[in-house]
Amino acid sequence: MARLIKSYIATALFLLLLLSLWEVGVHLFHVPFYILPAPSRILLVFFTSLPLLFSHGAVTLLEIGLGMFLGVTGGITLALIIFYSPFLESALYPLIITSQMIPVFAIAPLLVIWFGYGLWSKATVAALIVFFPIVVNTVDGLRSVNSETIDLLHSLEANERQIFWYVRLPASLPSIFSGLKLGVTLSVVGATIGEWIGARKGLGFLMIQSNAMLRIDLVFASILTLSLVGLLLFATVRIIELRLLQWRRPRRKPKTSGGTH
Amino acid sequence: MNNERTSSVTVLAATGITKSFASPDKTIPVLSQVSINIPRGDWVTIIGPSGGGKTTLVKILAGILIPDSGKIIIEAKGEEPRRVIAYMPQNDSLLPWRTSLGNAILTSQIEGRSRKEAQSEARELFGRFGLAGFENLYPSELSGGMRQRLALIRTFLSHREVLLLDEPLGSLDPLTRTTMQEWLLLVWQELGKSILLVTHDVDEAIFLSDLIYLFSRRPAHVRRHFNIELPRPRARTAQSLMELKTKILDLIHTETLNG
Amino acid sequence: MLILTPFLVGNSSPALRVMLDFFATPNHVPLFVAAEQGFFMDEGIETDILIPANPSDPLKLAAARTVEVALTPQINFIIARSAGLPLISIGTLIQTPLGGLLSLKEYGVEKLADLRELRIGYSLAPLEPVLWQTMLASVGVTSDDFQLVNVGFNTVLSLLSHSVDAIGAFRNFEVVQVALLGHEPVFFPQEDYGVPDTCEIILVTNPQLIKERPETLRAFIAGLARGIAFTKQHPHDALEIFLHANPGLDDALNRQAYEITLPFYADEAGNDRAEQWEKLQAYLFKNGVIKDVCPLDQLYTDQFLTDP
Repeated sequence: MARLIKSYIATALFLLLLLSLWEVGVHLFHVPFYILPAPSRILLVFFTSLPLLFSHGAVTLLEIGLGMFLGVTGGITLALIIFYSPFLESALYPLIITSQMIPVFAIAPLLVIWFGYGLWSKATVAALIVFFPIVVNTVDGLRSVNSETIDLLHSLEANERQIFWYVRLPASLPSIFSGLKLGVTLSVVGATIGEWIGARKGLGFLMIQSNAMLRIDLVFASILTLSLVGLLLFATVRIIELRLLQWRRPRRKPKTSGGTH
Repeated sequence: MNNERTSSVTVLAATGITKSFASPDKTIPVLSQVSINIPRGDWVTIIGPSGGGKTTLVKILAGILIPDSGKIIIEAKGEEPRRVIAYMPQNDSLLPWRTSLGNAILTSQIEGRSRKEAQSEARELFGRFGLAGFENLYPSELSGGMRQRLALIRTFLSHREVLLLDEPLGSLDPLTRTTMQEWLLLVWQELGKSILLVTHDVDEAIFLSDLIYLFSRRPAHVRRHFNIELPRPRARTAQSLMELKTKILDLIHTETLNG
Repeated sequence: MLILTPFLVGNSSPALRVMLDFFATPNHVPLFVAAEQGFFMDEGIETDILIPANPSDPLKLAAARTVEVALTPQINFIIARSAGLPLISIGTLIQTPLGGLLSLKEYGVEKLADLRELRIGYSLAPLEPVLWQTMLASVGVTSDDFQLVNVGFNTVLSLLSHSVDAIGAFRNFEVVQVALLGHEPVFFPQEDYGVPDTCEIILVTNPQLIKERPETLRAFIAGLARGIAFTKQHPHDALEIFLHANPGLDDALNRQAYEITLPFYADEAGNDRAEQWEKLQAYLFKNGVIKDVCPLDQLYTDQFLTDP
């Protein structure tokens, strides 16, 4: 516990140092406020615009949630398909990788035509960005299972369903969570980019509009808000991970033998 | 304590087992016309050099691999034949995300028994095997010896008559190993199973077994077998044991020289 | 991106860096003509024409003096001034508005009031909604009677796919685009419907630069004026010069757009429309687009008039 508090204090100090350098830097080098505002100005705008940031943030958060849901379920399903079918794996993997190369603005018009300007086009962009790390990590996790354990279960005539639930899935969870942590951070970016395509609300939308109106301080306040959203999501995944994967943190050193009878 | 052989009925027999593995450039013959018998209630050990196909044979007996030729005969006593054999792989294959108790009941759960039932049975064995109090620890929190005992509990809970133990004590230090050998002996005598043990360790084999099969190098076949009629508990340094050990070691030695 | 070089603030290089308002279009023909024909050279200066990565860059970079001159719509400039950017207008390239609302005949729109109950797509808030609301109010359609939809930057696409019935557009660009795609455009110029007159493209700089290099700026405006004159006198040649400098733009869209744009180039490359500035700024202030007004002498200078 003490160690945790110490690390939080360390982070806070680090952050304070960075912000001070930034603050001093923009004044020292006469950096214009419309290019890079000072942290003090950003924080001021942030606190005075809280209601605005909150209402836009809620929309972006909703898009992220939806995108995560789609990306994760789609990604895990795809991973299972790839894992269980070598044929589909060789057929699908190159397509999946190519999908990541396509810049969003190229497919944006398509997404808009199919999904309109509402929640779904943003969620789709987020989902497209999220599903890749999920697929890769889940497949790796499924493949990491000890073959001798599988032998053991085969010797017990366990069927594939049992093997999956008793062994494969729990063994893959650490990898899946790696994918989730990556995915959740990327989903923030995804939703933001989705909003650039066309939106009525959201932090990405706010950023573009503020930039056009040359309210750069508001742009950065939006970025700050997005960072907080991202941190919140990451922390949530981490907490869930710690609960589900308790076994990864040994509580004490291995005991010596308790003696024989 | 004496060990009375209850019968000389063969509970598991392998006849003429041959097996090869195909690799990209050639075929590797591993087993060649191997035949062994396991009498009911006996302790049978296979000794042989590393890579000599012992694990392959065990996997074939466990039903995980199919032999190229040969037969396996199981005296099932009305049970489904496969349900007679319990296999314990070389590494303990404990699931790190389950507690000790959770690991112990794994086999029971797969066989369809209720969790409550399996748990109470397991707890009893925990007591008998000296692991009482460790039910909620994870495998990573147990010592090597304890993990092997846990793996054995899991194997015993499958209620199967014949246990195939593939080098269960291989990863233990010599002191723990000898302790575990004595302990295994006691448990075997208490529960009355038939055991097939695979090991490198000649001392271990002669201390524990009723019957020893000496395997050759790859492609493996049975070179000799030795019946040991000595009562248990055996003194490790008893003269007859030492003579047997010398004989076995000589045989192994000559093969090494000639091969 | 140039935005990440704040340390270059105050740096001056020999060539005058001129940044366009966005990608090159026939709006900019006189500028390219002046550069290619050596009109700037004749006035003793070199120019470097730059294209921004996104439309808000020119104002920021001119204010930060990373570029010397920026092209920008007059309205956007006023917004930037209101946001506190140190800028001043020194000249004019396009002296009329180019914007308005565009719909398609096939959507059954013939007059502006037909947009009642329909959807209008826009990219930039809060500016565009204000403009379109003004236009529709002038024909008796209140903001409750139509829908404003933010369609991001894909305005033409949203119009053609009928996700919206009308979009904010330029009379010399999107109007031509949709016509070339086989549709019949219906365009409503914003100045005909209550939006004050504006200059679509003006030239701005940081006031410090006027103090430091007034002669350079005078030379620039003079060169530009010659470019405009040449364009009006030899429109065909001017177009060829422009296309030669921008080979990727030689297509039907740009050629047709040029024809429409010809009458819009400024007669006076300097800047002196006090009344226009006042009216425009008041309009933006009244509608909440800007938070405060600047005195006119902080908005523009007429010291570079070529024909005082």
